[in-house]
Amino acid sequence: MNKTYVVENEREVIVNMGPQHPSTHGVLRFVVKLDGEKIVESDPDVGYLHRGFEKFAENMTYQQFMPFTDRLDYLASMNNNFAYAMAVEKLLGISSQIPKRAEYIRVIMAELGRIASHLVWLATHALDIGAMTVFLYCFREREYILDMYEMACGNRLTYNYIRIGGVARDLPDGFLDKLKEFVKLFPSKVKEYHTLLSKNRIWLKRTKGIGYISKQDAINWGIAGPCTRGSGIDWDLRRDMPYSVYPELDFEIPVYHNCDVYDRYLVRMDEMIQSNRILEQCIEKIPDGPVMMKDSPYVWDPKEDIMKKNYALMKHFVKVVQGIKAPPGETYFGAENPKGELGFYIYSNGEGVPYRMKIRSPSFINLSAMPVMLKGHYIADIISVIGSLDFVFGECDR
Amino acid sequence: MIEVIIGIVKLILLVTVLSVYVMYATWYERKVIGHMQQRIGPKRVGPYGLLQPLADTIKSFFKEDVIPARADKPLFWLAPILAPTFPFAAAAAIPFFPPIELSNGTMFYFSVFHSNVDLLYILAMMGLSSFGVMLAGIASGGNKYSYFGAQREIAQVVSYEIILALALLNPILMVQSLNLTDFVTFQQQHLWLIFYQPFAFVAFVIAMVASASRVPFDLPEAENELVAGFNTEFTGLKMAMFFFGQYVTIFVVSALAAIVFLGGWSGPAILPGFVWYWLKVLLFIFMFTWFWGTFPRYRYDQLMDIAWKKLLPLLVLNILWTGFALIVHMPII
Repeated sequence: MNKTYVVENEREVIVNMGPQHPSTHGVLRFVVKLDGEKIVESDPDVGYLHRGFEKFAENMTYQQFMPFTDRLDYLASMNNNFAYAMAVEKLLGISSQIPKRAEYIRVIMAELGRIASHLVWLATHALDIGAMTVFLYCFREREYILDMYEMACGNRLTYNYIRIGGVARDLPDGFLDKLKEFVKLFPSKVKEYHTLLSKNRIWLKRTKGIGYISKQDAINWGIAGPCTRGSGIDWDLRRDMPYSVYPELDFEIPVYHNCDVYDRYLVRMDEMIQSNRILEQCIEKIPDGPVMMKDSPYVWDPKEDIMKKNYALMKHFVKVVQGIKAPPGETYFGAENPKGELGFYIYSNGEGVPYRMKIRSPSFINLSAMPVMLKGHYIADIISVIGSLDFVFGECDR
Repeated sequence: MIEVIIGIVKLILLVTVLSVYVMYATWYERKVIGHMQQRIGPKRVGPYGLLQPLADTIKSFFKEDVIPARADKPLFWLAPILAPTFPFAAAAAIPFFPPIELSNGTMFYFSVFHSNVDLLYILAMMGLSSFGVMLAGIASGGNKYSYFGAQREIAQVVSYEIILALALLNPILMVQSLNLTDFVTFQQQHLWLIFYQPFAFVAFVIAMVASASRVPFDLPEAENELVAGFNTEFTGLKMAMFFFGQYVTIFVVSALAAIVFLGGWSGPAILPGFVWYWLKVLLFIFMFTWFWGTFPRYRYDQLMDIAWKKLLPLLVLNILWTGFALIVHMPII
């Protein structure tokens, strides 16, 4: 934000929406020039939640940075863990050696995270447009997912569960049963949301034709994730640049072509169902076995060994203090997160800490296209567009 | 002399009863919406949270009263006073019970103000009741959100007020009176007016939700867009006064709908008249909450679109049709 707005005639008014505003989803400051309630110009101003994560990363071993990724997109912490672990594994060249069971657990966690994140998106999006009940219904289902996360890793918001080389611990007893229950229940709940919103005349009036961004514009601005798929671009990293065990799973990529808020809404609603399908398959396909790589110079030994074996303790000490020595080079890995493509670019010069790490945050890039979508709309449409872009400021400002 | 005393007693009763009603309307609404959203609603203060409204009232009394430095002080005081005044004035014409015949042959009416122009009076007061909101927006010292709230309220008033009046014109044509008691008498002799005028009823319901500024037409205070709209700068009791006015408005329009379209205290003799009447009023109050739990919010240009481009032409046609049907004495009327 480096423009200065000047009021040209007395009809115009400059409104400073945020950073303290009920529906800017955190700390977005949005400067809008209005003619009556019509938007003439608009400019998002970000950076209020900047915590310097990229600089932090340069002073931390690869394992130490894992909890920081939780705090990027705090509504889908598991997905961030996943993307970061995959990026480091790609740098270390151990992507193919991750145990199968760990991969499946990661995918289960990531898809649960996608559903949870989309539920919060739907809840807040609907609340912003005025439908209060949907908000509570969505949080009811999200609670179920958080309970499962709590079973698996003891936390409800910042999980720090996925490790470089596997996952922290195996799934607890009863987790898969609970997951089965959830998977069976969830489609009926999505139907419930559809009955409340999808054919609701007011909802259609508030979302159809609002926040238009053409296919070409979406590509030019680099928008990723559900927002692009709402603009008719058939692009999903899980299928087009496959990682983990996604090639073994059968799922569809929902694509809609009207480029407006309503289509982005439909994309996410369908994605929840598809994630549910992936979970269904994962429950059946998940193999037994270890959940962490063994005997690798990059991975910590099991806790029992460290406690009992002298050599393991020494190795552990070196790995923790000096960090794992990644081979020199650079790598980029992008994962399909609920918000879009979350990418980690890591440059290593062979030391225990990365020389530079850049985080490509989907929220930031989606948000930057907002002025394009808002042209000629009303002030009330700002919030429906904000809702449809689904950004989280932890990730946007890093 | 005795009439003056009766009038004063009625007035005091009206204010007391409506104040208690407003308190418990908030409780009722929170309970209903709570159960709709799979919550419980207030339950901590008193049994079933029945003392919650009392706690809320005490809280709003003791809140710090902040007046912005740039506010227009006289208007800033006047706005919250005006906000409930006009709805109360409108409620003065609403009967609380069916009238009873005294031993000397005269009728005793359970409304403070009884006349032959009840409806006209109520509509006039309803129209004035948006003054408080407008002044609140203007008095808030250049707060843009308040200003937008007031602007939306004005847009809303010019849209729904005319629909409200035109929707009532159809029953008025049929009953040929503006007296609320006549409406009930008419409906006791014939069918309820909702069966003769279903479209006018629907239009009236839409306009009455808009007049009470409730979801889906709660535009002047649309929390997610305008922070709190016109009452952004108001605190404590001043803010509570706006809600006071709003809940009295809800009562007035609900009672109006119950009397004009659903036959007031007429109903099968299994229940006494006033029970029927209050059941119908509560039904409409429930409807407000139901809307709140179900609908998203319209944009303010869309509200004007509905009012001016859809409802107004249709209502004019409806009036023409009603007039035609009355002239040729059609059997359905």
